[in-house]
Amino acid sequence: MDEKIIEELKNIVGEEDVSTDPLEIYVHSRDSAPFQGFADVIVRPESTEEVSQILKLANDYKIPVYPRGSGTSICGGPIPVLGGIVLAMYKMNRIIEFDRENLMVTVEPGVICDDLNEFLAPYGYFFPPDPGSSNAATIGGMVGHNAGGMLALKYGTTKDWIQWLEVVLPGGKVIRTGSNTLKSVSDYDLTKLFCASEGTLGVVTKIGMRVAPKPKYYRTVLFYFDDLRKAGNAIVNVRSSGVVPAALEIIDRISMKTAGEYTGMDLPEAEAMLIVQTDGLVEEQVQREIEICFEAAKKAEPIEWMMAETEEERNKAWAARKAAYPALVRTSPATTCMEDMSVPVPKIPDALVKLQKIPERVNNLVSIGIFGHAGDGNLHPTFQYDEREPEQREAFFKALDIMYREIALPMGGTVTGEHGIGLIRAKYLIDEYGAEVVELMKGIKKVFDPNNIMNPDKGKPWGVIEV
Amino acid sequence: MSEVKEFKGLSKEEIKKFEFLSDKYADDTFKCIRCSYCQAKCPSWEEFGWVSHSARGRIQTARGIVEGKLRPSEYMLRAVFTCNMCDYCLLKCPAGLPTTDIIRALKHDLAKQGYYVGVHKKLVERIQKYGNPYGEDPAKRADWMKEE
Repeated sequence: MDEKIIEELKNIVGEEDVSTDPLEIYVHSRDSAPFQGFADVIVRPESTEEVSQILKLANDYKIPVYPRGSGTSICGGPIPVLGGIVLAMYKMNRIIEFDRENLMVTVEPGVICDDLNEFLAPYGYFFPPDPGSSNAATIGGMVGHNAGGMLALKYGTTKDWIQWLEVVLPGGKVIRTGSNTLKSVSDYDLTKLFCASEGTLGVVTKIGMRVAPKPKYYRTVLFYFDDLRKAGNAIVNVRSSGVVPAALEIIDRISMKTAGEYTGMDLPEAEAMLIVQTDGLVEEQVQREIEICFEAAKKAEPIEWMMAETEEERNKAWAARKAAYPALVRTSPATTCMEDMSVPVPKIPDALVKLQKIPERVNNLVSIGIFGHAGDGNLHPTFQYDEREPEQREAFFKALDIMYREIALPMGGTVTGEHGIGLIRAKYLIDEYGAEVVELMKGIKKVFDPNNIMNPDKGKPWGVIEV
Repeated sequence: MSEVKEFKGLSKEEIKKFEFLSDKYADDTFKCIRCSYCQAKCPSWEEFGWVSHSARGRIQTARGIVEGKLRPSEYMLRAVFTCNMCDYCLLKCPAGLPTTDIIRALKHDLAKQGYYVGVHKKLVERIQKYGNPYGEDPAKRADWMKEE
């Protein structure tokens, strides 16, 4: 990159917030996905004005810009594949205002999700989207990928809580979308358009969000099934019971085994484990709701169950689910990739059966464990392999083709429920939507970013990148 | 387009000299899932605000060395040696990686190859000469006690 550009960046943000050191470039070259790309410079802006000046400069010289939070993305979203500027939003991490009367909070994009909830807790409120990475994920990244989590069944995903956004467009213009009102239909809902746009349209610099009353009571019940279809029936029964549980999670046999060995828990031999949790402000209601869920799930003939009566029992019930991912990471030969697909809820058992057979189809060069948010059909098949071995790496990508093209999409599902397109799922976008819809999305991208500087060569909307 | 097409790091022979790191912890650096759990409240991340100066950055630095994509530099030394070994990352790592051991190995191997910050050289010289890092005469170590 021309030294003149680096100097101009230093003039905008100050010398101490610009780095071209190879080490800094290297540690910004990956997220959690198995890809790598090197930027030319890392820049840490502190204000909307600085972001605006950077984007004007980048647009004038047609330099790619990659907004980045904590880099917890697992789709390759923030990887600077074409070089250019990584816009590291670390310093824009202020909680600007909490309007207790309108129940809204305004934050900068670098605020970490758990930090926001720690701030809200004494007031009795919380921001419900809860990705597994909430202790590191930034709100900006959550908006960029429309993060969900275990509570999405009852509370929705990030976009459901965002009221308005301040966004800097390529060229430096600052716009504000949405409003402070609960209802507004006066626009094309640009706020939601930016949610899950993965930094391809502009840079979010302020976020206005609603908050929810923090539940006071929780009830949890755990079921084991000797047949995946019975577990599937239980999910359908609970969902049609009239109660919307806060969480309805599933773990398959392989993940149970790994998690059991890792935690030392003596889990029964079963094909699947389900966890159902209700929450709320009124104890009697929360209790009644879990009883209704319990009766509904029991009709599907679980082989064993445990109603958690105390907090200790509740923690125990969640231990295996929470250990599922770490256990797979620890038993992997080297690389662990958590994938993301969603299918209509009644298709979950079929999807699980087919997913479990994927390793056989790639000569067992990868292993798989599956867990996920059964209540909304979002599964996280997690692959173990060694990316240093070319054969295994090839098998992993073949496994993805099978998973998305032969399982998720034919079942009427989607290639990503909450992780995003990024690099890893880019080539499946056209399979899911077809050329016409992808062309429409390209048109939207061009309106916002005619020079294609924002996070270019990622799936949205350019669709195809060979990786 | 990026001018940094590929990072030229150490040669295979040079990497072998990072023996502690490459013999014991090479696989671990690849197991890191880059989840950033170790980064969020890492004290040196909070102080410096650059990823290289966080636990995540240091595990990646170790990987960069063993995979031959990074070379030691003054900047790397500051990034690595500002770790105060508090074990926060060890407690947070979902992959169960021995994070502080990896960082310790990185520090050890860097120092053994002659890459250490100036103040450490002084400390080593004092320890060799006086048996303590303060450069004080050991014979006077009890002088602070007053006689009855």
